[in-house]
Amino acid sequence: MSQQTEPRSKSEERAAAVKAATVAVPKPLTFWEQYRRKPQGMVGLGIVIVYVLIALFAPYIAPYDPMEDLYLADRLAAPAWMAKTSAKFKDAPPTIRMNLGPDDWVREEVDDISISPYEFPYFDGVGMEIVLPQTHVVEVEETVEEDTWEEEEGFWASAATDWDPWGLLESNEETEPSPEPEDEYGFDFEPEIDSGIDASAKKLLLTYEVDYDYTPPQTFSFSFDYSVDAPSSAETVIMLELMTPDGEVFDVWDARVYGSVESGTVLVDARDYDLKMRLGQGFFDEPTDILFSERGTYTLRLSSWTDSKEGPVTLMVTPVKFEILGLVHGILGVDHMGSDLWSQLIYGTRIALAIGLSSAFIAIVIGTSVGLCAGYFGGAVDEVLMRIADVLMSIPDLPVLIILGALFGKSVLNIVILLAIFSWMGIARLVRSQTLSLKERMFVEAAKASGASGGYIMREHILPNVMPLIFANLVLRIPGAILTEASLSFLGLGDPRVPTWGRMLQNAKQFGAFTRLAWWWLLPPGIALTLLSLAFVFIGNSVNEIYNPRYRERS
Amino acid sequence: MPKKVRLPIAVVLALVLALGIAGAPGAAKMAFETTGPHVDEIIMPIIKEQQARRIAYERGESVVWSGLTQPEDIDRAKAMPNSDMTMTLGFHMFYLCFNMRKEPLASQPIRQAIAHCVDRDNIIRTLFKGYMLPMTSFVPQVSPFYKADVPVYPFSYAKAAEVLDKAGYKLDPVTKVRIDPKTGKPLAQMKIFTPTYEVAATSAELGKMIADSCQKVGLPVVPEPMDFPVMLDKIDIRDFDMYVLAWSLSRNPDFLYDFFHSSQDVEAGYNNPGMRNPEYDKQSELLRYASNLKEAKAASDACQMILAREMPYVPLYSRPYIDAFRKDLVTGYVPMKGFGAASYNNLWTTLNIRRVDRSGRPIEGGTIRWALSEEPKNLNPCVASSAYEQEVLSRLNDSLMAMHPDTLDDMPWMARKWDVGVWEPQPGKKGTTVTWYIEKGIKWSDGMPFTAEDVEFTINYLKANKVPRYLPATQDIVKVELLDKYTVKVYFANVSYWHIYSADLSFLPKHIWKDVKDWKGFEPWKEPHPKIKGYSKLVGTGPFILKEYVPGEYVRLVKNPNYWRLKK
Amino acid sequence: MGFRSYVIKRLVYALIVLYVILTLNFVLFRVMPGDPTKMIIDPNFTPEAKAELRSQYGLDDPPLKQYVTYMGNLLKFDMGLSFSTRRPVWSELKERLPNTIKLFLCTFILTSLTGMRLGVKAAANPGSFTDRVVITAGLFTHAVPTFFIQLLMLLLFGYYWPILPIHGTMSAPPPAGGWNIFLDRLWHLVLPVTSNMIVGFGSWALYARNTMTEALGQDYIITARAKGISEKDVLYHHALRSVLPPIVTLLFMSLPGMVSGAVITESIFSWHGVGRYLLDATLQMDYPAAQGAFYLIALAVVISNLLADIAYGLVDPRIRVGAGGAK
Repeated sequence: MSQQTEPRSKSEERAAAVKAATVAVPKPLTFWEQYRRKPQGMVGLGIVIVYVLIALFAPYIAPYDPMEDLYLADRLAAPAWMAKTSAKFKDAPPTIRMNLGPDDWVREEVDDISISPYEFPYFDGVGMEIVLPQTHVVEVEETVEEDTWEEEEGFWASAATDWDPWGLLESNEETEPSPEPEDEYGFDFEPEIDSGIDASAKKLLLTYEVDYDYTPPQTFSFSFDYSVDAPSSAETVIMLELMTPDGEVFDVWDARVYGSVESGTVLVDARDYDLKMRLGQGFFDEPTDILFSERGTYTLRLSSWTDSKEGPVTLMVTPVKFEILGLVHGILGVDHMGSDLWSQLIYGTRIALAIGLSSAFIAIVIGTSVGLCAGYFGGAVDEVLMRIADVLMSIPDLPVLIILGALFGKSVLNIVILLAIFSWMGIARLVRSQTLSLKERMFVEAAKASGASGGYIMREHILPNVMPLIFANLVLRIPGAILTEASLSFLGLGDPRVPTWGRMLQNAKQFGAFTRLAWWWLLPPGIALTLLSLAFVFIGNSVNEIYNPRYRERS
Repeated sequence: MPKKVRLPIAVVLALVLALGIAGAPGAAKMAFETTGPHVDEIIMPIIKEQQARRIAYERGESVVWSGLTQPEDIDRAKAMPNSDMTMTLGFHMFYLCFNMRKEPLASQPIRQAIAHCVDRDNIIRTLFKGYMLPMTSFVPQVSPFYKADVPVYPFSYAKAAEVLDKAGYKLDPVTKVRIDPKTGKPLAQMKIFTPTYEVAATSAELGKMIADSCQKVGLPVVPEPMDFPVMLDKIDIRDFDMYVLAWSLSRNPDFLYDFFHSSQDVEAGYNNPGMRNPEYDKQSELLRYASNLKEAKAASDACQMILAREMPYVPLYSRPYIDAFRKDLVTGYVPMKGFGAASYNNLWTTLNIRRVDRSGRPIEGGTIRWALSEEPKNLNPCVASSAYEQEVLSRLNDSLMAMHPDTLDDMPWMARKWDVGVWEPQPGKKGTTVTWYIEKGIKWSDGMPFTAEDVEFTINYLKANKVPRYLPATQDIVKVELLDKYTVKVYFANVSYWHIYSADLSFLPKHIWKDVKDWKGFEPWKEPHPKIKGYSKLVGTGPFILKEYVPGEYVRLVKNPNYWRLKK
Repeated sequence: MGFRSYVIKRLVYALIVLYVILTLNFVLFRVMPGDPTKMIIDPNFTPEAKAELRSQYGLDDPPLKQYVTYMGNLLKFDMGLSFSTRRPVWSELKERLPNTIKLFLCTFILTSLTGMRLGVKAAANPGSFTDRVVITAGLFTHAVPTFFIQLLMLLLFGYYWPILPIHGTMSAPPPAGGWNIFLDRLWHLVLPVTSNMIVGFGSWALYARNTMTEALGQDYIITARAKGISEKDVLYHHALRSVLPPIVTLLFMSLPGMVSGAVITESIFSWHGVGRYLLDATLQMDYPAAQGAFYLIALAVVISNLLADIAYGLVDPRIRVGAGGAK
C-alpha cells in the first residue's frame, strides 16, 4: 500500500546482505570524479544544496515567524496574486492596518478644543491629548445622543460589573439608557431629549477618510484605549461612527462617562455580536453586508463632548487602530490561524532536513556498531544482536511509532530517536556480512597476530572498508525518515511546537482547505517533501552506482 | 440599503434567549406536536470527516449539517440559499480551572487577577469568528438556575494589576515578574495545560492567549499543550496549575455539588480545583439534597455567589448549538432551548421532522437521510455512554418525562403523572419516594405492553449488576414497589428533589433482558428477536426501530408501528 | 542442516519474536495513561461508579495477574473489552478485518501485477518509453508521500469534481441486487486503491525490471534465443520463471510496510478497517483496543516473515546450510 520505502529497503537489504560479499570498493580518491559524471547525482546534490541554503537563511526568506505571527490576514486567506488571476478573488482586499494619530485625523475646527500629540507607552504611533472646554455654547443640531444599550447591561452579562458586594471591582464607567438617536444617523427618530447632557456642549469631531476599493471583507475592526480626566460632576460622551459612501452614518461604538476614567478599551469588531446587534442584525448576519460592502470612501468619525461646568475635561486617546483582515495575503496565503503559509513552508525545510539527517545518522551509528560487533565477535553476541534486529524488523514501524509517540511525548528529539531505533537493522545486517568477509582477510589476520585489540582492528581495519557502504546507506535512509516523520505529523502525532510539512498537510485537511479548495495550502508542502526525498534518492543511487557496480548494471 | 429598524433590546433578548434563535428569518418554528413520527424511515450514514459531511449536506444526502463549530463551515452553510440556520444556547461550558491546593493559585487575588486577564471577546472573535458566547457564570445562561447578578471580572490589565498590587504582589521592575510577599521571591512559573494543537487547535491557542495576557501584568504563566489522555491523567492526580477544558452540563444545577464540594476532592472526583470552603459545602449540600425546586434555586443562587468570589474556575465561553437544515427537503425540526434542533436529546425534532414537497408543503411519510458524525459503536443500553450512541438509542427509547423545548419544564410523557413523597428508611431519617403513574397502552416495539413491571425490572437489574453507567442513579435507591400494573413507587435512602430524574432511565424490556446473564457483552442489536422475524433484541418504546446497522457505514431506522404517540 | 530443521528453527524464532512483541505490547500499554473511566467525562459519573468500572475491567488486579490473564486470553483471541465502546475488541476487529483485507488484496494484486507487467516489458525493451516510465516511477516511489497523493486525489475527485466516493466502503444504503452491491463496493475502492497503486507500482516495476534484465543476460536465455524460441516465450516462460521466486519473497516481506500504509489510507478515506481502528484506539489511549489491533497486525507480519524465510530457503539452498540462524 503506501510508505513502502522502509520495508522495501529492509527487504532489499536483506537480499543485498547476501550479496554483500561481492561489493567492490573503489579507491576513495576517484569518488568525486566519478560522481561528477552522474547527472542524476548532480541534480540531487543541487536540490539538497538549495534546501540547505533555504534552511540556513529561513529567517531572511520567510517574512514571518510561522508560530508567533498569527492573524496576519483573515482565516484561510488566499495568496495575494490570486486577486489578479482568479475571478473568485478578484479585487479581494489585502490586510489593511492603520494607526490613526493626530496628524491623520481631519479636524473640524472648534475654538477652545486643543489637541496635542501624546506618545503612549506600549502603543505604536502617536496618540492624542484632547482638552475639551467647559460648556458654554448652545448648539442643538449637531448634538447626537448616544445609544448605549450594549454598554449598560451587556447582553451576555460580561459588562454587568456594577454589582459588587465584596468591593472587589471598581467601576467608574457608568452608563444609562438613552432615547433614540437622530434620524440623520440612520435610526428611527424619536424627538425625546436626553436630560443627561446639556445641549450646549462643544463637540469635538475628528474625521478620517478611508478609500476602500475592494470586494467586501469579512472582518474589520477599530480599537483604541482612552482615559478621561474630568471633574466628578461632568458627563462626557465619546463616540465612534462610520459613514458609508452614500452618506449613511452608523454608530459603531459609544460611551458615556461620568467623572474620570483611568482606562477604557474600545474594540469594535465585525465578528462581535455586539456590533451585529447595533446594526440590527442577527447572529448569523455579517456586519460587512452593511459596512465596507461597497467601494468608495468611508468616513470614520470620532467625536466627543462634555457637559462639564467645573473645568475642562482632558481626554487621552491612543492611536486608533483600524484593521481590515485581508482575504488575500502573501505568497501562499494563510492558514486557519492567520499564520503565513509561505513562512511555514520555508521553516519546514529546517525540520525536515534536521529530522532526516539526524535520524539517518543515528540509525547508521547504531547499525554500524551492531553490525561490526556481531560480525567481528560472532557467536552468542552475534546471535543476540541479530535476534534483536529480527524482532525490530518484524514490527510494522508506523503503528509502533504511533504508540510510542503517544507514550513518550511528541518532541522532535523523541521522533528522531524513535525513527532511528526502527531503521538501523538493515545497515547492521549489511555491515555484519561485510565484516564477516573482511575478518577472514589477510590484513585483519595479520593485525590479530600482532596482538591488536578487537576495538582497534574494528576501528582501523574493518570500519574504513565498510565506510562507502555506510555512506550510500546513510543517504538512502534520509527520505524514509523524512517521509515517516511527515506521516506521523500528518496523523497528528508530530511535535506540536514546530512547523513541519506533515503538519501543514494535516491542518489543511482538518481546517477547511477542502471546503475552500485551497490547493495552494495542499500542494507546496507535498511537493517540497517529494523534491527533497527525490534529491536524496538521486544522490543515494549515484553513490551506489559508484560503489556497487552490480547496481550500475541494473539501472 | 434598508433603513434599520431598531429593535428594542428586550425584543432582541427575547428572540435570542427565549426562542433561542437568531438570524435567518422564519427559523422560529416553535410550534411542535407531541405525536409522530412523520417519516417512515431515517437513514443515517456515518460520515466521520467534517468536510465529507459538508459535501453530503450540500448534495442533499443529509438533511442536516449538525453541530457546526468551525467558522468556515458556518459561513458555508449560511451562504447556501436552501439552508435554514438554527442556533440555540446550550449547556456547554468552556473553562479555565485553577489548582487551589498550592501557592500561588491558592491565593484568591492571583486567581482574580488571572480572571481579569481573560479577554473573552477577543478569544471568541479570533478563534471562533464570534460564533461562541462569552460566559462569565458558573451555570449556563440558558439554565433556569442561572443567576444573572453575580460579580464578574471584566478584562482589564489595569484592574488585574490593581488587584495584585493591593494584595502585595509587587512587580519586580527588572524581571517584570511579580514578587510573592509571603516568600519574597518571584512567583514560580504557572502552566496552563491545554489539549494539543492537533486535537483542539482553538484550546491550545486560547491557552496561549491567556498566558500572554497574564505575562503582561507580571504573572509568569505559560501554556503547555499536551495529549488529551495525559492531561486527564495529570488532572486526576492533581498535578497541574491550570488547565482548560469543557463541560457539557445539564439543566439541573446539581453539578455544582460534584464540581466544588469538598467531599468530591478525592481521587477520580470532579472537584479538580480542590475547592474546600465550608460555606460552599453547606450551600451545595442544600442544593444536592433540596426537597423541592424552590430550595434548590435558593441554594444554587448562594453557590453561584460564592463561586463568583472564590473563582475556582474562570468560565470562558459557551458553545451554542448551530445546525443547518435543508429547508427544501425537510421542515418541522424544533430548536429546543439548551439542546439544539438536531441533538439527540431533542425528542421533538424526531417526532416532528417531515419532508417537504417541491412547493415547500410538508408531506407525510418517506425517507430522510441524517448524517451521523461517529459510529454508534455499542447499542447495548446498559453500557452505551457516548453521545454518538445516544444519537441512535434516543430515537429508539422514550422516557417517563419529557422536557418542554421552550421552558425546559418537565412534561408528563410515558408517566402521566408522578408524586414525590417522603418516607422513613430508618427511624428518624428521611428519604424521598417517587410514585410513577404510567400511561396505559404503551407498547414495546415488538408489541408487548410496557408496564410498571418493566420499570421495576430495569431498576432492580441495573442495581443488582452494579452497572457503572447507572450507579450514580441507582445507588440511592433502596427498593422499588409495584403498586399495580401501571403504578410503581421508588424509595430512596435520602431526600433529594433530583431523585425523580434518577428513576427516569433507559428502560429494558423485561421479556428480553430477564434471560440476559452477561449484561456487558450482550449485543442486542445483533441477536434475532425470539418471536418476530426480522427484529433484533434491541427493543424500545421510542418512535423508531433499528432496522439495520452496518458498522462503519450506516444505520437505518424505521417507524415503530407500535409507537404509542402515533398520530391516529 | 536439512530444510526441515531450518523451518523448525525459523518457526521457533517466529514464536520468540511474537512473544517478545506481545510482552512489549502489554508493558507499553500499562505505562500509558488511560483507563475506561477517562472515556466518560460526565459530571454525574461519581467516583464510586468509576471505581466500579475499573474493577469490572480487572484493572485493580496486580500487574502479574493481569499479564497472565492477558497472555492466556490472547491465545483464545479474547482481547478484552474496549474502553471506549465497551465491546469485545475481537468482535470489533472481526467487523473491520474483511474491509482491511479487501482493500489490501485489491491494492496488492493491482499494484504488483501492474508493476511486474511493466517491469518485464521495460526489461525486454531497454530504453523504450515503458522503460523510462518504470525508471521514473521507481525513483518516485521512494520519494512521494502516499498520503500527499491521496489528499490530492481527494481534493480533485472528492471536492473539485465530486465524482468519486471519498469515504466508506459502500453507499448508505447499498443498492439492491448482488451485482449492484458488488459494483457499489468496487466503486468505493477506486480512490483508495488507485492512489496506493500510483505510488506503489514503481518499486515492483523497477524490481522486476532489474531482476529480469539480469536474467536476460544469463547463458540459458541466450541459448534459448539461439534456439529460435519466440521472444514472448523467452520472456514469460524462461526468464520470468527464474526471477519469480525472489519476487514472491518480496511479496511477503512488503507486508509490514503495507500495514503502515493501511493506517494512513484508512484514515484518509474513512475506511472502516483495522488500521484506522489502531490509530483511533491509540489516540484515545483505549489500550485493550490498541493492543488487540496491534496483536493482529504483529501476528500477520510475523507469519508473513516466516513464510518469506521459508520461501527464501526453498529458493536459495545456501541460506539454510549457512552458519547459525544468521542470514
